[in-house]
Amino acid sequence: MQQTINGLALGSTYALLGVGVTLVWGVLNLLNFAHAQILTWGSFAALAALRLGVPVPVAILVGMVTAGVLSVLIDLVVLAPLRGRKAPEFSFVVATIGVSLVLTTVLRTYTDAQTEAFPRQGFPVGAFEFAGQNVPRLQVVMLVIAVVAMAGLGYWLNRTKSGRAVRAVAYNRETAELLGVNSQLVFSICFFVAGALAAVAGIFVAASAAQVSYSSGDGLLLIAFAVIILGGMGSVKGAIIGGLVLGVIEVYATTYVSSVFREIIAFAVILAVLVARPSGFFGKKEAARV
Amino acid sequence: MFEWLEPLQLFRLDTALILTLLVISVHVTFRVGIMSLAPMGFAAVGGYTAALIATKSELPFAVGLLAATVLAGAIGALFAPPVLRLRGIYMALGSLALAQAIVVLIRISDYTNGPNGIAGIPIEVRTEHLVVTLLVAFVVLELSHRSHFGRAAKAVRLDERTAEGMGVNVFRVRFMSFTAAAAIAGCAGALEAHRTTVISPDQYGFATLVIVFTYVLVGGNGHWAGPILVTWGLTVLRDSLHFAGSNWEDVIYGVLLVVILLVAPNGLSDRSLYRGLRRRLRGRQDRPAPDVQDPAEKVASR
Repeated sequence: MQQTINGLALGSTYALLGVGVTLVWGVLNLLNFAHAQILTWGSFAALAALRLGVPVPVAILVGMVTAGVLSVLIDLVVLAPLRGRKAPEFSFVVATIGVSLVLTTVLRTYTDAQTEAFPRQGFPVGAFEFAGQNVPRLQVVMLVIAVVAMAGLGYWLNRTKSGRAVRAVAYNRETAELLGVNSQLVFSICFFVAGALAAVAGIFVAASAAQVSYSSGDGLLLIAFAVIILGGMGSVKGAIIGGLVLGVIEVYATTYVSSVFREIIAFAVILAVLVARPSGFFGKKEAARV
Repeated sequence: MFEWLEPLQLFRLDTALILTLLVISVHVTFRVGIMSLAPMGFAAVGGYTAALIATKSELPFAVGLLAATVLAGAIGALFAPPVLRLRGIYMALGSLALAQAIVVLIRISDYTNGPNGIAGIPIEVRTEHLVVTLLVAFVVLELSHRSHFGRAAKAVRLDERTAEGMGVNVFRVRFMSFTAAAAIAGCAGALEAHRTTVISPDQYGFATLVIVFTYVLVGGNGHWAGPILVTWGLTVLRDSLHFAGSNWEDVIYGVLLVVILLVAPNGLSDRSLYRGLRRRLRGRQDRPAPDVQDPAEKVASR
């Protein structure tokens, strides 16, 4: 029971990570390898705001806006021209890898490759007892944020006009444009949302570890990929559930099998899901797409 | 043969030559449209096989190199059927997971000395060996590029269903390419282990993979010379960026990469890129550009 709670707590971080990546994939068919760097930049922006003495919610907001704007800038400067040239799928992969290299290096130079302490005052730390189990507060907040984000995204995508525009662009960009949808605006909105959600995940990871460094996002990228593969690529609901399941699997494997397996779980999950059911829990059947 | 070079330059030359071998490995899969991110995993298999044979037995270097190549190829052949079921980005992610799983297994196993890696591997590889290996690889690549297999590979990349309809055994072509790439990567890993004398699981990480994959994508998939020339060109460029300090080196490199992609989304060996350039060089009064491009040529340049 305690392990399940720990697993769900870990998984809520993963879920929040996966949502941003899956949104960009669902709309653009683009896997953003710079996502981890956007997350790290968002955490550092929040850290800078906290050092100026602003309250925690404002700092989180600063981090979200910074990461969101950065994400939109990457799209406008690098990815939009590539789209205009009808570049093949894999030049987007390389382009985002190039961007991530630049972002990492700038941050590494700026921080002198030092790990910075992340202040935890103002964050809900510690744990409370619930039905005899220890529940870490920070993770509960993250889980709530993840569920709220999913509900919000679900409402936005299914019930609002701009959400319909997003789905139209995801379905067929040219048709959507003929119908009067500004597709560049849709892309910008999606990148902003993805960046902002990544920043939230990054800030909470930094707060729970009480530290942040220029490379703290790197390990999270492959986990985010594992999450969206497990949940089905492009499915927001799948990303949340996939994240929680991955967290629980990881904690169970660490507790009941061996702690050495912790690192290998994400990769084993990617391989197993891709081989057994490439479309994940909730994905459309498109893994065999040529 | 290469004594006239300074040790540092020699070291960089060797690094570039082994990187070239890895680039060839990725190109072999890329040529048939397999986006495999697994080469570093196979390089780890090769490196550790050679290192274990060299340090724990009395067998000569050649046996270790052969065993490394064969074992990496065998693991590639074993995992080829499940991985080859996937396409596009799923294939990339699946093969990346395979590679990372191999590396993590090496890191947590006691037999491979865990995260500390293996030290004291005898130096057996000299620049001459690498040059000869690469020359052999070039000849084989050019022969296969011109052979029935090379044309079948191109057909599979451009359109699998059409290729199948033309009587190409698509699975066989993909299987052989994946296995050959694994063996080449294993060979590169073994050579690298016998050059640097120390290996650890961390060196088979994302960083080298990103560099290799970038070279192949910028080089394009038209002809094997494309990625290899890009590898050498960008390695020279990267080394000459040292004057700017290691911090700015990566920034310039990353920006350059993005710019090259914006100019040539299909890679630098894309033929349509040079068609436009040639037209401009010839001068505008020459002949107006044909409005309708030859569809056959358009396909051929892909």
